[in-house]
Amino acid sequence: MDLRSRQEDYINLNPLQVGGRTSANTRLMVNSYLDGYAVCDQCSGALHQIPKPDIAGLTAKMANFLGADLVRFTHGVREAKYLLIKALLKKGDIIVVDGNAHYSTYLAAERVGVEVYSVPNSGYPEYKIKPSNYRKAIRKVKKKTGKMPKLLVLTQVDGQYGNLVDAKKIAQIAKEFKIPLLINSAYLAGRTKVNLKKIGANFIVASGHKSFGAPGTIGALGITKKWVDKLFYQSKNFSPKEVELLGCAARNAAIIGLAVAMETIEERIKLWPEELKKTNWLVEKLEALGEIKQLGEKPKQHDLVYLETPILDKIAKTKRKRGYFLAKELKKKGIIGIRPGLTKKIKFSTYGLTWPQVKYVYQAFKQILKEGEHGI
Amino acid sequence: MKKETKSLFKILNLLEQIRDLFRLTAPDHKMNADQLKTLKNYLKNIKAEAETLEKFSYGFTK
Repeated sequence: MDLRSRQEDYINLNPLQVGGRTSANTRLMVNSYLDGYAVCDQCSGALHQIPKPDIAGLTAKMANFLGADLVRFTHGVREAKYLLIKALLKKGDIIVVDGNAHYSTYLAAERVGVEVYSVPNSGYPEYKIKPSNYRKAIRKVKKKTGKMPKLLVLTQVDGQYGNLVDAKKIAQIAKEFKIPLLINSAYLAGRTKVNLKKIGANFIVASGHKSFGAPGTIGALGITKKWVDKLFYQSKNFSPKEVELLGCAARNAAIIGLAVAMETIEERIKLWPEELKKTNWLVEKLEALGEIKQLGEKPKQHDLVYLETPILDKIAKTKRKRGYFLAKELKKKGIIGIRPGLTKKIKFSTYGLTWPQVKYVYQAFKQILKEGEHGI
Repeated sequence: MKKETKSLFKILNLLEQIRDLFRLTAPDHKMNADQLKTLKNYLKNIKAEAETLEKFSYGFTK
């Protein structure tokens, strides 16, 4: 197995990975906790109560950051979503999710035998989720099945178009129908602040390795205290082990990485406006090259960019490597992260790059287009 | 923490700081004057901590 040097030797644009770039301090501390069960040196039975390393402190800090009453750590957002759906719902129940939801939301529902109705997006080119369509979806479910949905799920920023949805408006609809609302903030919380109570929702899931600069994999489930008995209840036979967490979930070095990342979270989220500036700058410059169109809402309110790039597809048809030419050319220029083989549409993020690196990316694309036009 | 273990972790930390410098200056690692100064400082500190480990190794082999 080779050592991985993708972040050191290349500019990485992979939108999945950019928010999980770790700092030197994070890596050092994680390194010292890599051995099996290292986190458990002083555990008295519950991960979230461990005093040293200060996971108890991390738990409180994360709850405060997410605006939740209580938080528990899982191995990731998908595990947190599954925990919630499994604990609250039963086979045959119905949930309403946004049409841009991550596939793991559907898998979590499928695993429990829960039926999913989705709120369609607005289609090409914006693919937006209109909050009021949740109301339509709820009424549609009631009309079709005679039952009300038991849960609403919102992917606050989706992983395809990087659209930011107004969660407060959906929370108001959720309250109107008295249906609990889960906010999937995997792509947002940690890049900026997201507050469950200010939104007015009931649950929030966040991803350490997606957006907090933590190593993989670590997620957080934040809830309001009303739900503690249904979600974080202890075993009758093995107190204080919480049943839905199977006693203990994220007992790994990743939680240490998250703890270190949280020490500088306030400085991290201050950089968010500048990240959006970089994103919108690059989008504008690339679109100006011609035959490139940004999909999703404009201007961007998130760093994940999805571009329609017919110009690159045209060039690809003249190349021996066809669609693979783009990733190959970018790699020659020291840029990776765009899925090889794709040229009709490409997805990327500049989150965490320096301005010189962002400008370098623009120049690289400009040069590739120029060479393509001249048949080079 | 023991002195030699502290030196070990200080070296690891400095290496991770250099790794961050490489990330910030990818792909060509061309550094500006401040970054080069920082890199030189890291390497100087690594050498100093390595000397501590070296002294320890002499003591261990006695």
